[in-house]
Order: sequence, then structure tokens, then C-alpha cells
Amino acid sequence: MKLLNCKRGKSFRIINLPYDQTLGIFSITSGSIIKVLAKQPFKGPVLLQINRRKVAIGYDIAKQIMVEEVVSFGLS
Amino acid sequence: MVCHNHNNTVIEGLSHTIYLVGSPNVGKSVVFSKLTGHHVISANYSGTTIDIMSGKLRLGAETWQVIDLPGIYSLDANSEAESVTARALTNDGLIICVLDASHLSRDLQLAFDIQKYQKPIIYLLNLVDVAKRQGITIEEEKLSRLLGAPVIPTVATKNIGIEEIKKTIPHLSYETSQKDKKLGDQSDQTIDDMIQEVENYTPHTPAYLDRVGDLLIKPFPGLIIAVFILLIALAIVVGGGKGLRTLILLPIINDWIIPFITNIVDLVVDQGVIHRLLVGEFGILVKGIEWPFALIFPYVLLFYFVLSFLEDSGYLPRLAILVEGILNKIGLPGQNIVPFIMGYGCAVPAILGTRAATSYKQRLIVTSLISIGVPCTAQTGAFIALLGDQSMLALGFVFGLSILVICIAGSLLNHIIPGDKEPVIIEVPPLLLPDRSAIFKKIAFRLKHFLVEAEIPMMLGILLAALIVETGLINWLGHALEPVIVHWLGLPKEASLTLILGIIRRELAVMPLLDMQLTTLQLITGAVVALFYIPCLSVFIVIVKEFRLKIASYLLIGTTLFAIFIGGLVHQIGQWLP
Repeated sequence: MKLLNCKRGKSFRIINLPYDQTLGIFSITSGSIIKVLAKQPFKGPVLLQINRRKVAIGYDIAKQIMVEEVVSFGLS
Repeated sequence: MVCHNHNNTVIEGLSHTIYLVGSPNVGKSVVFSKLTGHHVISANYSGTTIDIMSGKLRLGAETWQVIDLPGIYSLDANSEAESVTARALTNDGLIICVLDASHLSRDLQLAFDIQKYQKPIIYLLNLVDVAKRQGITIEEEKLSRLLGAPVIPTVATKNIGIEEIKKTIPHLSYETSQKDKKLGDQSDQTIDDMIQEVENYTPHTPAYLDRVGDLLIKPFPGLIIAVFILLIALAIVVGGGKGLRTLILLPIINDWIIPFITNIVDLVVDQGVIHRLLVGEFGILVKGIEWPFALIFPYVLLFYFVLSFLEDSGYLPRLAILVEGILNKIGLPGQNIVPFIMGYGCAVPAILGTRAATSYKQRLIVTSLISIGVPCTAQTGAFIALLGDQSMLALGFVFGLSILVICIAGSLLNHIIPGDKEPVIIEVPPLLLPDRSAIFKKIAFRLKHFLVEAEIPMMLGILLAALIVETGLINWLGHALEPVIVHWLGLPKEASLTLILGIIRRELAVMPLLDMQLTTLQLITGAVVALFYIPCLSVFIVIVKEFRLKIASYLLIGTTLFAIFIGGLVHQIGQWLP
């Protein structure tokens, strides 16, 4: 599913994302687990939590990111 | 400025050189200030250091040159900042690598990468207080073993650990270079494993400030709070400034200082040209004190108070994230709201600040918008002095028009200037309660800068005004510019003075209007012309340096024509209104 359609407050695993040097620095890579904290109005940035840091990603990049929901630990 | 600009020169590597390296917003500039005693502007967001700064650190008999490099995430030389750092590190010296204790996983890669330069390194584990607040503790002995170099925990803003750095530096320099030393064992272990080993994280309910920090960045209630914060900031600057001006500064200056000076001049100098140059209509000893100190200073002081607080708290990047979408809709580069807000202080640091991470197109748009329609704090002070007492509505109109023009111009430039949209990736810094002494120092630094940068040109401008008036040049000038000033703008002939003085400083395009007994419409027209008129001389020079003469000339001609066009429009339309 698309990152943009994700529910706030839940955790997701990134399965596909566009190449961008800066994303890698913030360890936003394929397979990383992220939490959607907030989505800004008017196609504004999506605020993610990754590990313990918070990074806002512009709409144009966010719309290309695909994720899958992470079911709670130990079950999957 | 106390610091030297090394941007275009190769940095001479003395063996007594210390390079400060680290990722953005880990506090390198604070460490630099504490080590050298030089004050450099630092703030709680990435990319405040845009030039390489150097300063001196005296340790016993030896003097070290300390160089503050711009923040980088890696050494891959992808951005200007990264290549500058990579180039600098090929010279001799030792490295102080500043790590963020609260984000060690991000910084550890850089910590290892930096070892390939084979220089003695001290690692600082900065922001340990923020890390602690978030439930993170780092075992620095283990980290030191892994990195093969000393690790000093610091809270640079509070001076914690600074003495220890000074003690460690001389020892390090006598050690053999790390060539023979075993490099860190990165190959055996991944960064993640190392973090597991050195970092202890006890999840706990987020501290109060972290919870507030999260609320500020959610659309609700973040946007509502943003409006409140901006209103409070406006009230402090405009209301507080007016209070300071009318209750304290004007009475002191007009009732005590100026009569005192006038009396002395009366005693020493006979009536005549020199007397009039000193204390006449544009006497430098009268206006040269009244304008900068009574009319402008209160707004500059309060603006920098508010700005410094917002900068150090970490609120500005949150604001940028909140409004990025909305500002994008109206054609403004929303992620660049920080240099934009700085522009309301002074355009020079704002334009330099656009260097941080933005594309050429974005830089050009922000620079153009600031040059066209963002009044600096000195000019804002002048507007309030000119219009605020007459009609607050007029003041509101001028600022409303400014915002409208910025939006339209932003949208137009966005279409005209070629280039792609820049990807937005903004890291959210922790929300901090700004340190009182740091804020105080920062305001003092900026005020000193303002007094040096503004007072001398203002005095010269006033002297020029006095000369133009006293020599009768004003009549000739008024005659020459009559079609524009009188017929098109509906201002008195003497107002031609503002167009000349406005070249020197923005507020000087407003100040001469103060004593001309103008109607409200004339005041608004004059203010509108001054607002859109060319940015001041120092801004012009900065634009030439950053973008070449051609673009600076376009801006110069464009703003002049635009100012006169819109000013005339206001006058012509205003005439027909009741």
C-alpha cells in the first residue's frame, strides 16, 4: 500500500522507495520500519518516525513510497 | 566580523589546526564558540554554518587554529558542504568529530569514515542531556574502544566537557599519528551491532518537552499554535517596540540627549553651514542619533529577541514542515521559510542562509522575494514610526500588500525560472528550552553587528541628505525627478531624497518622509515605494557575490521600476477613493 494512505500511529515496513541519497542517511531504506506520525495538509510533508528520530518527507517523495503493515511482534 | 571567510581559498593546514566535523545541528558551532571565545551564530536546526569559520584557541604556550566546518551527513562530496569538508581534511591537523548522543546510529558511520584521513581524532558525544531526556545513555568507554580514540561526553551549550576537550588536545598531538594505530573494527561489526553494545535505551513516557514538540508539528493543534506564536511574536515586536520607543527612548533622546548636544554645538560652532550639517534639519548629530537609536533600535532588539528564541528552541523547522504544503500551493518554497523569516531581520544573513541545502532555483526565488518585498527589521521600525501613529490600518495595508506581492511574485518566479522542484526532507530537531545566556549572547552579537553595520552607513546617509539639502541640490533633484515624484506618485518634491538615500539603506527610504507633513495617502504611497524599492547596498553586494552581477542588476532595475509603478498605482487609485 502507499505510504500516503497509511493510518497515523501505526508501524509499517518500507517495501519500495525512490532513490535519494538523503533518505539513506536517515536510514529510510527498503525494509526499514517506520511509523507515520502526522500528515500535513495541502499535500504537505509526511512526518515519519524511524528508530527514535523524526523526519518529514515531502509529498513528492512520499507518494512514491510503498509500505506494508507490520503486525505486532512475534505473530508474523 | 571576527571570523575569516575561507570559502574560496584552500585552507592552510598547520599542524596546530583543529577541524570540527560532524553532522548538521549537532552543535559544532557551539563547541567552536566555547573553544575560541568567538561568537558565531548557531541555532537549533541544520545548516546554520554556511561558511568555514576559523578562530584561535590558546592552550598554555601554544595557539591552535580551530576551524568550524559545515555540517555533513557523509563524506561522499554530494553537496557543496561535503566537498568543502572533504577538501579541508586533506590538510594536516587534528579532528574533533562531534557526535549526537541522541542520534548515534546516524553519526557512527561518519565517525568511522573520518578515520580514513589518518589524523588524531577526539570524538565528542554532544547533547548527552537531550539523549538522557529521551532515555538514552551511551557507554563512552566502550565507544572509545570501538572507535580507537578518546570520547568525551559534552553538553556544549552548558559548558559541560569543554575543559576536558582542552585538556585532551595537547596529549593527542604528541601521540604518534594514527597511521600505526589499528583503525576501528568496523569490518567485524555492523553499525547496528555496535549501537546495541554501547547504547542503553529505556523506553519511557516522553518527557514534557518532547510531547509539546510532537503536538507543535501535528496539523492540529500545530497550525493553530503556529498562528498564536506568530501573533505573539508580532505583538512583542510591534507593540513592545512602540512602548519602548514612546515611553523610554524618545523622551530620553529628544528631551535630554539632543538638547544637550545642540547646546554644546551652539557654544562651539557659529550659525552657518557646518552648524546646520551638525544639528540642522538633517543634522547628523540629531537625526544620526534619533533615527537609529529611538526609532529603529527597539524593533531590532525585540525582533532579534523573538528570532533567537525561536531559532534555539527548534521551532522553526517545525513551522517549515507545517506550512510547506500550504506555501507550495501559492508558489512559495515552503521548506525555505527559515531564511525567509530571517529576511524580516536582515536580508544579508537570509540570502547567505539559502546556501544551506537548497537548489539554485530555490535560492534565486527566495533571494528575489526577500529583495522585492520583505522589509528588514530596520525598515519595519521606520514604517511603524511613519504610519503607526497615523493609522494602524495604513500599516496593515502596507504589510498586506507586501505579502500579496510576495505570493504573486513567488508563483510567477516558480514558473519562469527553470529547474526541478526540490525534494523535501527535513529532520525534526528536539524541542529545547533555549539557554538564557546563549540567547543573550546571540542578541548582543546581532545588536553589535547591527550597530556597526547600520550606524555608519546611516550617518553617511544622513550626511549625504544634509549636503543635498544644504547645497540646494535638492531643488535640482526635485526638478529632475518631478514627473515621477510629483505627478506619478503625488509626493512633494523633497521626497526625491528618499530615492537617493534608499540606495544606501532600506529604512533611509522611509525616514526623510517623517518630517514632511504628508497626508495619509502620501504616507502610504511613500511607504509602498520604499517597501518595494531596491534592497540596500550591502544586500546588493551580497547578491552580486552569490549570483553574479547580471542577476543583481536585474533585481536592482526590476525592484526600482516595480516600486515606482506600484507606488503610483496606489496613489492614482487612492485619489479616487473617498
